[in-house]
Amino acid sequence: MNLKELYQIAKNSFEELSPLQDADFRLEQAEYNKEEKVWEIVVSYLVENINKPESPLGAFSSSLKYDRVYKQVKIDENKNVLGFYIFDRA
Amino acid sequence: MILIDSNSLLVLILGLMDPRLIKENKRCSIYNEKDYEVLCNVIGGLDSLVVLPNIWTEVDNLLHDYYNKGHKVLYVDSIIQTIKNTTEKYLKSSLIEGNNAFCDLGLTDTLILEHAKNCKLLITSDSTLSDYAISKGIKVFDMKKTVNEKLK
Repeated sequence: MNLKELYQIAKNSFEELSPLQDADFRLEQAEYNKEEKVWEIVVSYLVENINKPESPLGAFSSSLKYDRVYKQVKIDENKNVLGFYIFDRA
Repeated sequence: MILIDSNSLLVLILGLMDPRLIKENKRCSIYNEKDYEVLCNVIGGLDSLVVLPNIWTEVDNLLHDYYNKGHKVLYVDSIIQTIKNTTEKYLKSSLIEGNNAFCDLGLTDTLILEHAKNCKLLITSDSTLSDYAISKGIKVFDMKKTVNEKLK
């Protein structure tokens, strides 16, 4: 599979997860796991930031209107999405 | 001056070593030789780049052990030449005080965001850093966005 195919498979799976018209969906990284014979990819997309601080004391969360969410996705050789996982960008 | 972040600098160093190494590194896995060429064109010359010491530390941590095996001499030559030919800018870590981007971006990227205000361009391959920079009116060359445009 090439990056374009991985991007499309993941995008189709995530399309309904963000209500935003332009969620700026991105393929962040892609690695083939030879032992498990699966692609492990990381994607990101924007969601509305519902934790936007309302006071200066709330400065421990993003101040942007939108938050970028990162997810790890496993895709097998038959182009099936096996699962979505939490991904920490740090 | 042009400010560059860790992952973009990683692509640059790997490209200077051997562009075929770029794809082999997990963090740079969506980039290829062509993207390295585009990056070089955007930069122009190494003398236009400014790098924070925090970024050099991150890049060296990411590459040092990995290249101890087969590419040690090439790695040492490339990083030393790049350090010598670029400008290094030290920023006090205390600058993050009161900056609410710190919780999302961490120390290095928050300092990048601070210094990018004084630069003509920020080169990044970090989507979240790019989101923040654009929201602050900073001119950004977003390597991730450029690659993803080609995947649509």
